[in-house]
Amino acid sequence: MATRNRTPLFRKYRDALKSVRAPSTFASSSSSSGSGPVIELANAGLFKQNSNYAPLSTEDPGTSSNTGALTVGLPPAWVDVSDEITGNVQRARAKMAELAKAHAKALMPSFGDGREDQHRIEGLTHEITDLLRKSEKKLKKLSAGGTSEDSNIRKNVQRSLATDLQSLSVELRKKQSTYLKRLQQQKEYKFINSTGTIVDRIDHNIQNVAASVDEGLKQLQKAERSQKRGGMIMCATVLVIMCFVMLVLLILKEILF
Amino acid sequence: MVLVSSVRDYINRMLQDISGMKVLILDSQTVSVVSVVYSQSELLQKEVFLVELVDSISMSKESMSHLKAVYFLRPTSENIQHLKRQLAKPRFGEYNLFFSNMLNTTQLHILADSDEHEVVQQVQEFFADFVAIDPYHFTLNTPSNHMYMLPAVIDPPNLQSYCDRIVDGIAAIFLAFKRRPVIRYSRTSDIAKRIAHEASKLMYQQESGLFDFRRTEISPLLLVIDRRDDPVTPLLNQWTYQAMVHELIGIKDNKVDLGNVGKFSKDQQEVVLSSEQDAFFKANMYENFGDIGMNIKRMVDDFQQVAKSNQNIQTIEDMAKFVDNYPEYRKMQGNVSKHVTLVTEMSKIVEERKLMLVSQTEQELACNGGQGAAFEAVTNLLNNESVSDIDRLRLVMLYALRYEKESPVQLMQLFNKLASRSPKYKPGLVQFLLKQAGADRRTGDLYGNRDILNFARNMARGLKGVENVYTQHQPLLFQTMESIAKGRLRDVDYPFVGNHFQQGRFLKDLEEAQRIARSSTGVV
Repeated sequence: MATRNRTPLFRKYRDALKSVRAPSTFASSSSSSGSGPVIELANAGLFKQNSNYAPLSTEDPGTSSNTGALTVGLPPAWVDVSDEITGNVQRARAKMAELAKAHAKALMPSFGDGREDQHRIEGLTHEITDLLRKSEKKLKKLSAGGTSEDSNIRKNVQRSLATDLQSLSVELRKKQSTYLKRLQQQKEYKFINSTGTIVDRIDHNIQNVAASVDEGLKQLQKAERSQKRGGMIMCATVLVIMCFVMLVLLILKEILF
Repeated sequence: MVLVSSVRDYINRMLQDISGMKVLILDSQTVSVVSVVYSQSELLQKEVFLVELVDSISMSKESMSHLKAVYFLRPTSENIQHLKRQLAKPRFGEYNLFFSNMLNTTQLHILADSDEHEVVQQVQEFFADFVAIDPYHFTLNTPSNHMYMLPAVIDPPNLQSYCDRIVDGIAAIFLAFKRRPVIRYSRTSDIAKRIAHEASKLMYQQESGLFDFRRTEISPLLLVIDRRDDPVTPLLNQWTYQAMVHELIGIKDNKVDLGNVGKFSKDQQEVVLSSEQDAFFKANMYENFGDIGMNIKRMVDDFQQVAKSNQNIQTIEDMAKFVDNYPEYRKMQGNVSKHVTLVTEMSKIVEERKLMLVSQTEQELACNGGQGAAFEAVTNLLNNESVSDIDRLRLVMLYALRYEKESPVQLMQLFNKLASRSPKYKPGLVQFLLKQAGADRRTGDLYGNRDILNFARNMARGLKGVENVYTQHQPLLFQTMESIAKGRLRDVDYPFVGNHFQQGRFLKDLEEAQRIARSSTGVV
C-alpha cells in the first residue's frame, strides 16, 4: 500500500508560479493572492463550524455566512437542515449510550425500589424517540426539487440520514426489548434470590444458637461453682461461730467456777 | 496481500481524513476500480453524497462550495486538461486530488499553474490502478487488444498507449504490495518482451526510489506471457460456474447483463456477481456445472425453510421477529433468485447449442491424439444443425491448431465445409489464427508433445483415465505455474530482464506469480 504525497512539490510549484504571476497582475490580484492563506483559514473555520454546529446555536449560520460570503457562496438552505438532523442523530446517539448505562444500573440489584432509575429510563427513551421523530419530520423537508445534481445530493444525504435514523431506532427497540426481557427474568429469580437470603439467615441462626448454648453451659458451671463455694463459707462461718460460742462458754466456765 | 482489500484500503484512506460532505469524482476507468470493491451505501457512510464522472462534472456551472471534491483519476492528459478547466473556475469548497498512478513533473506543473484560487488541498498518488475483480485476480479492462494482431497495424501510436497502460497497471500492483519483482517474459512474443522491458526500466531506473522497498527473502516474479502461447484455452467451452457465466452471458466488472439473454424484470436485468459480496458465489465459483445444480437446490431448500417460518406468524413476538429479519430475508430471496436465473438461462443455452456434445469433441481435440477420429467428430458436428456457428468455427480452429502440420488435406476439407455451413465468417479467419498462434509462434509446450517427459506424462494420464471428460483440459498456464514452483521454468524460453534476479532465483513466490500470470493472459 505505497502512496506518494505530491502536495509539497505541488505547493512549491504553485508558490513559485504565484511569485512569477504576482508582479504582472499586482494591482488587481494583490488582495486575493496576498490573503490566500487567510482565505483558506476562513474556509477551514467555516467548514468546521458547519459540521459541528448544533441547532441550539442559532447565531452560527449568520456569522459563518458573513465570513463565508466573501470567499465562497452560501450553502443551500437544506444543508442547515441536514446539519440539524446530523446534530440530532449525534445527540440521540449520546443519549442512547446514557440509556444503556441507565438500563445496566436499573438491572443491578439495589436497595430501594429503583423508582428513580425507572423515571430516568423513561425520560431518556422519551427524549430519544422525540429526537428521532423530529429528525424524521425534517428529513421529509430535504426532498424537494433543485438542479439534477443538487437533487441527487439531497437524495443521497436523505438516504444516508434515513439509514442512520433507521439503525438508531432499531437499536433503541432492541435495547428496550432486551431490557424488558432481562427485567422480567430478574423478577422471576428475585424470589429465588430472597429465598437464598432466608436460607442464609437460618444458617446464621444456627450459629447463634450454638453460641448461646455454649454461653449457658459456662454460666451453669459458674453457678455451680459459686454454689459450691457458698456452702463452704457457711460451714466455716458456723464453725467459727461455734468456736466463738465454745470460747465464750469456756470463759464463762472459767469465771464462774 | 489481497487485491480487493488493498484497493479498499486506498479508498478508505482517501475519504477518512476529509470531514464533511464530499463529492467523489472519477473517470471512466477509476469508476470500475472503485465500484468492484466499494458499494454506494459504504460511500454514503463516508459522507460521499455525489459520485460523478470527471467529464460530466464540468457540464454544470452551479457553485457547490458546501461540498469538498475528492478526485480519483488516472493521470492521463485528458484528465489533467479537465482538471485545469475546473480549477480555473472552482465550484467546490476544496479540491483533493488523488491519482491512481505516477504523475510526471509536467502534469504537476500544469496543475499548479491552473490552481490560481489555491483551492487544491492535496495532491496524492494512490496506486489503485487496476480493477480487482477477485481477491487474486485483476484486469485492466483494455478493450479490443486483439487489434494489435492485425497485419495492417504494424506499430500504431495506440500500441504505445496500450503498452503504457499495462505497464502502469503492473507497476501499481507492485506498489500496492510494496514489492519489486524479478521480471521474465515469453521469448517468442514481441509485445511481452516490450512490456517486460518497459516495466523493468520503470521499476529499476526511472522510479527506482519509489520501488525501493525493504527486501524480502523471496522476490516476487513477474512473468509476462502472451495469449498466443495458448490459443486453445479460450476456444474451449468452460464448465465451472464463473467461467461459464462469463463465456455464455458475459461478466463485466463483476456485473452480468441479462438483457441480451431474455426478458427480465427491471431489478433482475443486471445482477452483481462478486465473490466478495456473495457467499454462495464465493463457495461455488469454481465448482462444476453439475455440482452447482445440487448446491443451488440446497440453497433453495434452505430458503424455503426460512420462508415457511416467516409464514407462520401467530404471536406478536413472531411479528417482531419477522420485521427484524425481513431485510435479511429479502436479501436472501434476491440472491436465490439471481443464481436460479443464471443457472436456468445457462442450462437453456447449453441445451440449445448442444454444448455437451460440442465440448466433448473440443476436449478430445485439446487433450488426446487420434487424428482420424477427431476429423470424423468435427465433420459430424459441422453437419449437425443444432450446433451454432461460433461453435463450428471454434471446432475447426481447434482442429487446425492441433493438426496444423499433420493433415493439410483434411484441414482444407474442413475449411470448405465451414465456409458452406457458416458463411458469415470470412474464409481466412482460421488461417490467420494459425499464422498468429501456430506452432512456430508459441513458446510453451502446448500439446505436451515437444519433449519426452511431457509426452510420457500425457500417456500416463491417458492410461489412468479422466474423471470428467468435459473438464479434462488443463490450460498451459497450469503447467507453467508448476514449473515455476519447482524452479524448472526454462531460461531459454522465458528469459529474465536485467540482472536483478540473483537473490532467490529458485525461490519463487508462487501466489504472486499466479496472480500476475493470470492477469497477463489478457495481454494480446
